[in-house]
Amino acid sequence: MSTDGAQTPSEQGSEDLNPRDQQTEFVVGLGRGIGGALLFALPMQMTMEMWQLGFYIDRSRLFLLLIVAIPLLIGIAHRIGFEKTIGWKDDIRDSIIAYGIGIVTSIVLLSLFRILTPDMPASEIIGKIALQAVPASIGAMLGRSQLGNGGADDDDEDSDGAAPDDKGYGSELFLMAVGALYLNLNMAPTEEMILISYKMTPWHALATILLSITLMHGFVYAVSFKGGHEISGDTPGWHALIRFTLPGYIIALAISLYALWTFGRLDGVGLTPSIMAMIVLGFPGALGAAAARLIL
Amino acid sequence: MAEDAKTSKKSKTVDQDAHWVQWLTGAICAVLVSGMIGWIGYEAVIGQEGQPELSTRIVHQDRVGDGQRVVFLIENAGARTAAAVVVQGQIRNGEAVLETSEVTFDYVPAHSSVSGAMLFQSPRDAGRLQIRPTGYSDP
Repeated sequence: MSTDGAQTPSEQGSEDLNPRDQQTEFVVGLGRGIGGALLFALPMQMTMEMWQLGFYIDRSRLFLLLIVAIPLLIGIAHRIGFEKTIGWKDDIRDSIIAYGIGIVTSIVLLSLFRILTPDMPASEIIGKIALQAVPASIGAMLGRSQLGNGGADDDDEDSDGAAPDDKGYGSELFLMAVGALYLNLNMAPTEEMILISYKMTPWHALATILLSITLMHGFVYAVSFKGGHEISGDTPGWHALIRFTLPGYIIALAISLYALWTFGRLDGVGLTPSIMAMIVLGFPGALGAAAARLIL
Repeated sequence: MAEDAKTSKKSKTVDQDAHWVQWLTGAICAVLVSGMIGWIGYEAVIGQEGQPELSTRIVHQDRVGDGQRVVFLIENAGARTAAAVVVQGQIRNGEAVLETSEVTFDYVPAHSSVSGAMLFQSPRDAGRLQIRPTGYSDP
């Protein structure tokens, strides 16, 4: 924190604002959260498969998804939260608010689209809302940080100056997981994911794996996007491949497997078709993971 | 300091000396990725462009009202996925067909099985039950 002297005044001063300004800031934060939830979750709110999943998704898997979302949100809040969160208490508060925003936006949008009507059974209504609330809450959390006036990017290395290597690595992998999860949740419910995997031959799958890894690596290290990473002169390029890109790809695949399983796309499906579907969904996941390292 | 250069450019530099945890993680992931490539590569070389091989198996039969429900499994032993699989069930008494029912499955993936059910009005002892796939399309 002490090295952040050059930050924008609004952030620097957030500690000693008078109550009224604090209130305004909180409302602005809520607004950003709602904006983020809309921006990130609208594609899913308008996807037919997500509505149907609301009533046929296995309830234990839905429950698990709802539970998994909590530490995930706290992690995002801690890593890239909207304010420079001081402690876990703030992170937990922020994530509960984001979850709440996710639930409310889901209710509003699904009612607006007439996906929710009062004559539906309660379990269907709750299932639809709960399923949509998870991506919407991730959107709310990301929106609060990314739609804001920036500044959150720089603090990662400053804040963990004591053990930069280890903690930075963990949070880098976590960021990749968030990025992969965001794109995966968008696409996993659609039938196209499994349809593509059925159309592919194993040769196509092999090409997809190689392309995924190449793009992931290129995105972050080669094409020099803003926020990209550099490999120091005396470090061979494959170091970054082994230490960052391959773990990132495995994370993307694991998350794609989890998403497919949650949405019941792997039930009764043999090993090879499951792996193929995982590779197909892992492709957007890999891009999401790479993009997250640049953006978040 | 090197750190200043890093943060001011808002980018991160990959250094040569890394914590062993990074190398361990990287090594495990390299093994996983190559294992997956190996498996898919094996399938690519070995698995010919086969055809779906569909078969059905009755899992369970129970009474529903005056009629019956037949829960069955359709299995695809082939190396290719079948789409829009039509399964037809008939209750026959000798040559005469007493009742016909039909179910369509969106997909029956390769080396996988999917379950479904047929509903008949005729009771269980009305005749001989026959369930078979009648057609599919390529996905």
